[in-house]
Amino acid sequence: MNRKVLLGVLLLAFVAYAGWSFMDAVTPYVGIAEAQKSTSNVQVKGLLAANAPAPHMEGDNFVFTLQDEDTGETMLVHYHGMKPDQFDEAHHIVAIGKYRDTAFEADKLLIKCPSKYEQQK
Amino acid sequence: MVGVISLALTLALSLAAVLSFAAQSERTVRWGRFLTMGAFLTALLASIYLLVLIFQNRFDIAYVASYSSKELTAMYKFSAFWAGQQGSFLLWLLIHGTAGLCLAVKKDLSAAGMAVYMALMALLTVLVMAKSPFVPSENVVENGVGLNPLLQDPWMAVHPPIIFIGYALLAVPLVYSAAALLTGQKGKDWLPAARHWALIGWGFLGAGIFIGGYWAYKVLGWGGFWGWDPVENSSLVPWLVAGIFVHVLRVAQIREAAITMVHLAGIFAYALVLYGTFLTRSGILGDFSVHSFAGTSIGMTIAVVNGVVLLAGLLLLLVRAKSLPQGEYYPAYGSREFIMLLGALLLVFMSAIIFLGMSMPLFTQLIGKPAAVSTDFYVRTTMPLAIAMLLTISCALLRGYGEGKVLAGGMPLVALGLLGAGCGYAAGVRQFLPLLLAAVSLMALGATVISWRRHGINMGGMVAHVGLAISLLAMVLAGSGSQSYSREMVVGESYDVFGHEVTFMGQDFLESGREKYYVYQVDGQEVKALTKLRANGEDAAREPAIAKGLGGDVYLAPTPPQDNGRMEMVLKQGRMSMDEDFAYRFEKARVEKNDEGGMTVTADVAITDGNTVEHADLVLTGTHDGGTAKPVEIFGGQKRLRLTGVTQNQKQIRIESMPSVETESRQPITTSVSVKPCIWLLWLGSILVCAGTLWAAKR
Repeated sequence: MNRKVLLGVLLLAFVAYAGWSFMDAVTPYVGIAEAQKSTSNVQVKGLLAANAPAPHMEGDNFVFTLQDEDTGETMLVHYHGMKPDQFDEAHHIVAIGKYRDTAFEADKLLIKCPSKYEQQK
Repeated sequence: MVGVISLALTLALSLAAVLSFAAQSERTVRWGRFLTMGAFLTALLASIYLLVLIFQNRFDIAYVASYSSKELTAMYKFSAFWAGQQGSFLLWLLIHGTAGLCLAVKKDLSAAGMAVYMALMALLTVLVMAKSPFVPSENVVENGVGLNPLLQDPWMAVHPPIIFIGYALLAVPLVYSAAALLTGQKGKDWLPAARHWALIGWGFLGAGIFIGGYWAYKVLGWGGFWGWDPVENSSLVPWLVAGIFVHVLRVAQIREAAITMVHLAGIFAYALVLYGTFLTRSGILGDFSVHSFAGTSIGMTIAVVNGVVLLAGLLLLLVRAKSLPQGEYYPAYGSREFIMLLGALLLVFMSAIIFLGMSMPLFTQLIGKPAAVSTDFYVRTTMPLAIAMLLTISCALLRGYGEGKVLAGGMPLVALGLLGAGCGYAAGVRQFLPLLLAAVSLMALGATVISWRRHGINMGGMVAHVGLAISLLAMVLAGSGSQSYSREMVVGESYDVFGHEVTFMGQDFLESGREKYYVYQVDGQEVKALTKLRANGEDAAREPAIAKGLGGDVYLAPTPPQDNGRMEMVLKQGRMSMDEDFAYRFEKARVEKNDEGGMTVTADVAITDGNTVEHADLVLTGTHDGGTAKPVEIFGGQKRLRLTGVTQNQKQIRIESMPSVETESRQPITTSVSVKPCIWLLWLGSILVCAGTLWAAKR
C-alpha cells in the first residue's frame, strides 16, 4: 500500500511541476504597446517598418524596427542571432522575447511567408 | 476529369466495400475484397494521373502551377506530387489503399475490421476531394511557380512519403482493435497481427521524424535537429502513443486485463495522427509555427473526421467495456508487467504535456487571446520524464514477467552511469538534469544488452532500446554540450574556434548564377555552405557548412553581408548620373511581350570612365510573379549592372550597380560557428531505433 501512496505523491508532484512550468512558459500574443509594458515573455506580430533604418547586424544582434499593422506604432527589436532566411520576403514577423529598456530583446523570430510550402503568387 | 472521376470512384468503391463487408456473408465479403482492390486501383489511377499532369507541365491545373515549373528536374517534379496539402492527402490515401490491398489479400482481418478500414478510406477520400489537386487554375499561366527552393532538396523526395506511411499504417492496429470490439471477440488472438502492423507504422513514423530532424539540421532556418515546433510535435505525439500501444500490448499478451489499455492506445494513436494533421493544415498555427501550411478551409473537415474517429472509438469501447477481460494487471510490484505499465504511464504524461503545449494556440484562441508556450517548457518537463523512463526501461529489462525474477544485478550499470555522466561532462555539459540523463542513458543501454544476453528481450527490441539510449545520450551531448560563437571572417585568415582552426576561403559563384558557396577550411578539411539564389540574385535558401568528425560536427552558418557594395541609382533619359568610378546615361528603353506572359524591358545605357564609352543592354524580364534581371558586366568585369525597374512612360529607369564577381567573392563574412559534440551518435541511435522497431515487426 505504501508504494502506491509514494507513487501517487510522485505523480502529483510531477503534475504540479508541469503545471507550474506551463504557466511560466505561456507567451501571450500582444500588441506593441502592451509588449513594452509587459515584464514577461510575449509574442509580438508586425511588419518591417518602412520608415526606419535598414535591418542590420550590431555585434551578435540582428536589429530592425517592427511596426504594428493596425496602430502603426513601431518598436526597435534586437534579435539574438543572424538575419533569418526569407526575412526580406516576410509577410509578417513574429518576435518572441521580452522588452528591456529601449528595445525588444527577441530570442526567436518566426518569419511568416504565406507558407513555407505555398509560395506567394 | 480523369482525376476527379477516379476519386469519385474511389469513394463509391470504398463505400460499397464497407456495405459488402458489413453484410458479413461469405459472398459479400468476397465481393468486399474485390471492391477494396478496386478502390486501391482508382486511387492509384488518380495518383498516376496527377504525376502525368505534373510531368506534362499542365499549368492549367492550379496544383501543378503552384508547385511545379518547366525548369524543375525530374526528381523535384516527382516530389511536387506531395509538396502541397492537396497532393500530400492524395499520397496518404494511396498508401492507405495499398495497405488495404495487403489486408484484403492476406485475409487476416475480419470482415468487421475491413468495413471499418474501408470507412476510413472513404473519409480520407472525402478529404482529398474537399481540397482536390485536380482543380483548374483561375488564370492561365505559361509557367508554374515551381517548388520552393527550401524544398528542392533530396530529402524532400524521401521524408514526406515515409511520414505518411507511418500515418497511414497506424490505422491498421486501430481497425484490429475496432474489429475485436465490434465482433465481441474475447481473448487475445488479434494481438499479434495488430502488433505486427503497429510496429511497421511506428517504425516508419519514427524514421520520418528522424529524417525530418536530420533535414532540419542541414538547412538553416528550421531550428536545428529538434525545435519543438508544433509540426514536429504533432508527429511526435502519435509516435509516443504508438509506443504506448506496442508496450501495453506486450503486457496484454501475458495479462489479458490490459487489453482495455491496448484499445485505448490504438484509438488515441490514430486520433492524434488526425489531430496533428488538423492542427498543421487548418492554419490555426499560422502565427506559431515555422513550418505550417497557410490557412485553408479544410480545417473543419479534418476536425469532423477526427471527432468521428475518436468518439466512435471511445463509444464502442465504453459499450463493450464490461465484456472485456478483467483481472489483475500485474502480480507483484517487482514484476516486469508493473514496471512496463509504469513506463507506459510516463509516456502518457509525456504525450499529454506535448499535446497540451502544441495545442495552446488552439485552446487560447477559443477562449480569447491567443498564446503559445515557449520551447523551454518542453525541455523542462520532458527531461525528468525521459530520465524516469530510462530508469523504468533498465528495471523492467532486468526483471522477468510474473513474480519478477531478477535476471541480473544492477552493479555494472552504476559504473556505466558514471561513464555516461563523465561523457556529458567532457562534452561541456554542466547542468544537473542533462548529466543525469546522460548517466541513465548508458545504464539503460547496459541493462538492455544484459537482458538480451539472458534472453529477456528479443533482437529487434534490444536494437531499438539501445538506439533510444544512444539517441538520448547524443541529444544531451550535442544539445546541452553545444557551443556557438560568431565573428566576422576575412578571406584567407585563420581563426581558432573551440580548438578548431577555421579559415574562410571566400565565396564561389556557380556558372548558372543560381547557387553560390561560402567556402571554409576546418582543420584542413574543405567544407562549403550552399546558398540557393533566385533568378535576380537574391538569397532563396541557405544551408550551413558542416565539417563532420568523430568528436562532433563543426557547424558554420554564414550571414549574408549587410553592405555588399551594391548600390541603386535612378537614371533619367538623356541625363548623366555618376558614381565613384563611372558616369551613366540612360539612352532609351524598348518594351516587348515575352512568352512568360509578361513584358521584357531592354534599356540601353551608355557608360564612360572619362576616356572610353561603352554601351550595355540591360534586360528585365517580367513574369507573372515578379521580374528577373541578369547582371551585365561592364568595362571588362570591373562592375556589374542590373535593371531593377522602369517607369510607365519609359523616361526613367532604376539600376543596381554591383562590384565585380572577384571583389564580391572576397568580402569578409560574419559566420556563426557551433560545435555539436558527438552528433553522429544521434543519427546512429535514430537508425537503430527504426531498424530495431521494424526488425521486431517480423513475425
